[in-house]
Amino acid sequence: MNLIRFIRPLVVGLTLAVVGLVAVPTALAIDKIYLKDGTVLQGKITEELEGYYWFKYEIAGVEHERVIGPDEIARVERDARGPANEAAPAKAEAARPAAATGTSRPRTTTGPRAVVLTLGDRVDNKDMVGMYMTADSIRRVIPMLEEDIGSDGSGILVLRINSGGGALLEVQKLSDIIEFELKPKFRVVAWIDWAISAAAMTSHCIEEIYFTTRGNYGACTAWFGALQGVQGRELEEILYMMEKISARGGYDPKIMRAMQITTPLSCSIDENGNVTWYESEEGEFLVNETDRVLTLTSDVAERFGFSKGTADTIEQLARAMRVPEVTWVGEWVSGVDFPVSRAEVEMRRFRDRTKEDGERFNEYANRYTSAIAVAQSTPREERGRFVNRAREALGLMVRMVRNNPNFALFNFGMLPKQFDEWVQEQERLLRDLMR
Amino acid sequence: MMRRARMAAAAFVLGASLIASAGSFGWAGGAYLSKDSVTLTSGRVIEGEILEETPTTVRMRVELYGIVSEITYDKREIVSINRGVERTKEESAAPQTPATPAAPSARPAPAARTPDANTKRVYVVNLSGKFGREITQTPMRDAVRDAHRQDANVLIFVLDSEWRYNELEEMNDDDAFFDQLFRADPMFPILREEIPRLFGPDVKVVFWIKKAMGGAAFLPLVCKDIYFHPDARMGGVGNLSTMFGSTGDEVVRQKQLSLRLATAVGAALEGGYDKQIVEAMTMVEKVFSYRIEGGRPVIVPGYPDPGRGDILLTDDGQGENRDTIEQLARGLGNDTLTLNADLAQKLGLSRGTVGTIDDLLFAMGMARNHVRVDSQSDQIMSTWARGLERAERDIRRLWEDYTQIQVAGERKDRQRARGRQIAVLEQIQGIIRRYKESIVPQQLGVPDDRQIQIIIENIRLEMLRDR
Repeated sequence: MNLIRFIRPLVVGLTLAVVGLVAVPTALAIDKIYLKDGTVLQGKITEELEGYYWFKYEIAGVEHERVIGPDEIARVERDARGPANEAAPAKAEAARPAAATGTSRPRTTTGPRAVVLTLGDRVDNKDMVGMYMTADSIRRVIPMLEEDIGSDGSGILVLRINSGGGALLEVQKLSDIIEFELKPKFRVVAWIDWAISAAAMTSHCIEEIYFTTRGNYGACTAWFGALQGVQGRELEEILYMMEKISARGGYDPKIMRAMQITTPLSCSIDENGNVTWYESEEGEFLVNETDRVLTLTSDVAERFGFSKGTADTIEQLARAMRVPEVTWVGEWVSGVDFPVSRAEVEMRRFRDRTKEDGERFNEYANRYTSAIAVAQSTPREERGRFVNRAREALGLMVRMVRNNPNFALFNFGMLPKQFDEWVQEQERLLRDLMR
Repeated sequence: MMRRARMAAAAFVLGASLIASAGSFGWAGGAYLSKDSVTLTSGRVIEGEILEETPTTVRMRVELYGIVSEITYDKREIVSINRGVERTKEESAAPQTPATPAAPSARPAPAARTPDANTKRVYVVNLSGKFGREITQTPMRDAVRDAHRQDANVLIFVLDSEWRYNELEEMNDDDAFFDQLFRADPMFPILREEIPRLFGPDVKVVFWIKKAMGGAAFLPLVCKDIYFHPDARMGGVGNLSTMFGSTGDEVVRQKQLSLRLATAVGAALEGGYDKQIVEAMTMVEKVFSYRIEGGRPVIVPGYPDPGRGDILLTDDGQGENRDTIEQLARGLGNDTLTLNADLAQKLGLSRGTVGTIDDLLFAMGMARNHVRVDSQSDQIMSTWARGLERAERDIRRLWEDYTQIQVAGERKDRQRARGRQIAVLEQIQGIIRRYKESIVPQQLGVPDDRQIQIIIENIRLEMLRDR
């Protein structure tokens, strides 16, 4: 069953690639954009707006689209045969970005609806995968997302990643929820601020990745203890897991491999813009040295087609996504650079609660165990106040795990079911103390 | 004293030249200054023209040594406000008795024109002290907010980070603390997001580097306009390749190195700087050279090709290439890159080398069309620094007080003593929370906030138990 679930996206991906290879060359006119850095891009200008060009071209047989800004362009050469170009001005007029709405619901329906959902918050130290970035918390907000941007695939879900990594055990769960519960309903886009280790592995199943200028992506080496690397069979399993996840996102597995172990990665770009990756230094461009682990920066990611563009604001992101008219769902909130949707509010609440509980866990546990100890050594008729205090502390721990089930594992060393049983046992103990 | 005298002289010279320019610009304000005055709580009387009064501030145009500047006073500083009659042109032309030079008004402000749309409102923030301690997000953010209140449109951060082991020992260029990069994390959003959000896209943000060593070296990178002081140094982050020593496995050390380097490079990309500058600053084994082509720097990996006019930037630091003690003592090491003013400009990181704020404003093309609106800035920064020192003293003293409280005697005495313990502990918690970004309680011999909470919980339990 699992095998079929994994194979299906592979087959679909391969099918699309073949169709793309056959169809694209005949469809593309040969416009040329000469960049200031000397790069010449060949492909098709599909739209033009205020000096920005939407440019369609191929890399490694896969069609890419990119928005190129006026400050990058030295000159533009249009293919005289390209009939699409005549239509460009008219399209450009329609493509003017709509301002984000100030309400929690979209005011207009002229463009696709979009939501930014943050996964991880590095500045406030709320970024650990498995603790602040969890499959469970994403699943909880899906109904709100469906209500706000629909579930027919037209709504855009921008996952803004800002995490320094965390627990490997959450990666597959996160990848699965993105693959099987988000992708069928939304156009899922990753917007990378800081995707390190497990955060990059999580994002890797998303085909459409954009970086902020400062964005980083990689350093996925699994380790434990005092910088001990995972080795042997366990390492092979992790490498294999990421090969499968690479297929979900449509990425050459050599890229992720260079992020996981010390191995070289280079690539060559042919005259059509196709990128071929090598796990060696034989390619024209050395992306990762033999004895290094790869972390991509925004310039490298874009240059070699790993990211589809670089954007620092939602307006730039909309242009990069080639969605000139977009309705950002949510309310403008002081201190946040995008409208905050209900799903985002819930995600932030989840992280805040998790942080407070994580920091106060020792306090809860100490309150509980101390109260139990005092109750046990106190005459039965005076135990009530201590048992109540213990019950209150137990309630805090139950609430903590209810908000974030991974606390059961990380803080109690139990699976959720075992935690439930432990709670029942404690409740029995408290009842017995009062008898 | 000498310094003050120099400043006054400089102000006078500058002022004289500006009086002339004021005439040529036809400054209207000078002709009809009204005789307003405010009396400060310090007893000083400031004369000038009240331009604006809000419930909390008074904005005045004052003239000092022939220099006109705008100053905003907090009403908490003011005892009384006297609005005078308008003076005639002749009265205005007569020599004025300068207002008593209260600290804010004493600052020379080169602009002698009426502030108009072209007049830049300049706010200078002095970031001095230890990075992560005095140079930290809270006072920085407070200063930025004050700049916004003053309607500034040019923010100049003067970065002068302390680089010393202790009061007697200065640290060297080859001392390095790469991981202070992550201490810059809470400061980056102020520059990246909060300033554009508050001020809009047209605000100009400038860093003037006096000393940017350790984590402070990364902070200006996100900013597109950097200037250097002639004696400036920027570096102290060259331990990236060696910081983990032989701990653990090489592959994991490489992971740690990779993510750190990429994070630092991300900051350089934001500012539009060559990322190889960051690699040269941080990794001892990386070799870089540079040359100037068409007036622009070109940094290339590897040793110089003399045929192309390359100049060595950093060698691999191995064997005979390892910096000698003679080189290190003179700040001439090249195992990793420490930028000085000359090199920073050659590599395109610095826009210019300037010795004073006035020179900087001149270099920025606003010597004659700006007003300084940063009268509160130094106070904001010093209030934090003084508060921090006081906080550390108070935490130690309160902890000592706590340990001295004896829980003994009758039940009511015991309960009272426990109550006092809790009150003292809560006071400590309050201080720790206020200065949490700069205080590590354990370094003061005091438990942290959460551990104190557990102590409080246990005392409360004792109170319940004590019958």
